[in-house]
Amino acid sequence: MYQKPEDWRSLFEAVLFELPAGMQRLLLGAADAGVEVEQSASKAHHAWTSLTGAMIDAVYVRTGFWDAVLDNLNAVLRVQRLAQAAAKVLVAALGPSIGLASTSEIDALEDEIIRLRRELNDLHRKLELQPGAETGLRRVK
Amino acid sequence: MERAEIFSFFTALNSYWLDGAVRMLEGARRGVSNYYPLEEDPPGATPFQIVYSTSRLSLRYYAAQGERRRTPLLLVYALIKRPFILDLLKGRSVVESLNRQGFDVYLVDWLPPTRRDMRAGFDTYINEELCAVVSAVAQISGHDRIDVLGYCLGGLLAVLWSALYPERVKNLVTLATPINTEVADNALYSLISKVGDATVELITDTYGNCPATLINACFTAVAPIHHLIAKYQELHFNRQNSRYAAFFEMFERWINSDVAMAGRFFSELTDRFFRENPLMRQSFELAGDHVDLRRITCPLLNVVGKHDDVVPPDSSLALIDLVGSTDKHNLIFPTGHVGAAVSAGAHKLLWPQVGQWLAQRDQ
Repeated sequence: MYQKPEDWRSLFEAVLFELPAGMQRLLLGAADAGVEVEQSASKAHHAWTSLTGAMIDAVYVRTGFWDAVLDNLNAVLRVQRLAQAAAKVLVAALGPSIGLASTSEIDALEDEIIRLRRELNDLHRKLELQPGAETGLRRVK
Repeated sequence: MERAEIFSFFTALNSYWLDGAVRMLEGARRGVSNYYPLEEDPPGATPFQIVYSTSRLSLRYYAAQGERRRTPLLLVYALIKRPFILDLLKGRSVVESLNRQGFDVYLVDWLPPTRRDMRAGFDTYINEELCAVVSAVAQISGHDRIDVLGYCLGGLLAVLWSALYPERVKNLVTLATPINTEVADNALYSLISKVGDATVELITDTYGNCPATLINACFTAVAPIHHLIAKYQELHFNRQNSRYAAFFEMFERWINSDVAMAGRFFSELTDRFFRENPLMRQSFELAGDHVDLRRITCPLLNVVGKHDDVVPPDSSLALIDLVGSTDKHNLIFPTGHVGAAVSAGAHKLLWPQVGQWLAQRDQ
């Protein structure tokens, strides 16, 4: 949650001193400069990750960020519920007249399909040959 | 080292993000479909049998290897995401580790709820489903008292169930279990405690259950740097390591395996549990019964991740003072919320300790 001073120190060390020095050596063709630059970059990255993570946590916990998110979510959900209700009215009113099933029939059919798929899944799993099958288990109803 | 390689992470980042977006969309597709495609779960590292099932759960049985312990162990998994995190890969599998230590393991695989389950709350999951599961385990194993291990929300269910039916529990292990919800400075707890009645009502009115995509969005939002950059950096540094790549792929699949949460359970969890903090106030009631954690008198091992940012240590550690057990221990392990289940360190040090603790009490 709190930004650690050692992360700031690591970030400054890496960005202000180690990286520029390493880059300079790399441009001059020093053999081990690549490793040096990668290590400095990694050090800077870890420090930055830690500092940014702490900052984001602080924003979440100490500001009205979540309140704003939840207000927006509520607004979106209200619109969605309205659209759903309108669509249901439309289907209920027009569906049967053009030969479509009613919403309750569709819901019941969906539930039945889910039940059948689960049954099939169970049967499929039972038929699969699994090692270590000799356990003498009884199926509990 | 080539100069070009130094900056290769930045050039590779685009492809990592694209792959990540595909995985996220695949997860969203599974999450929003009315029927969660269980057949798309990876097969798991350890063979199992389904020995009991209802419309809300499957009970998996993983047989012990070698010298068998007396008491069967019931793993109560959380209600969000699929349980294959507990059996991810060989060498990174909790189930495999416990089997090797001689435990017969039963795993509760909560099936993703459908519209019919929207009225299932704590009462349904504890008094109906868990009771039926324990009876099934007792009937199959011949043991009336069993060991119970609960993970995350599964830990909460296990704790509540153990308080209501203490005579059925021999030993209780809780792993990263939320107990005290008044924990300062945690992004996720701060979010959940702000989800008001209006939001809960809108979500359940619109969808019936709380959609998986919303749950996934919450977890992604509380750790954006990790999900956008840090995890890809780790992947990039380990790109020559094929085992790490396989692990990353499976882990990401699990991260995107969110399932919906039953409407009533979601409502009770946010309102009754997170906002009222009833376990700390000893005011939790279930179907008219007061849930008194002091009734838990069996040996208790409370495993806490020191760096857990989903269920902070302070939230879990509160459990030890609430139960009536005399043989009770906190085991604080230097890991995160999921690291306790999958990290190499946990499999080397934590799970052997958990097994040993249970074995010492397997009389």
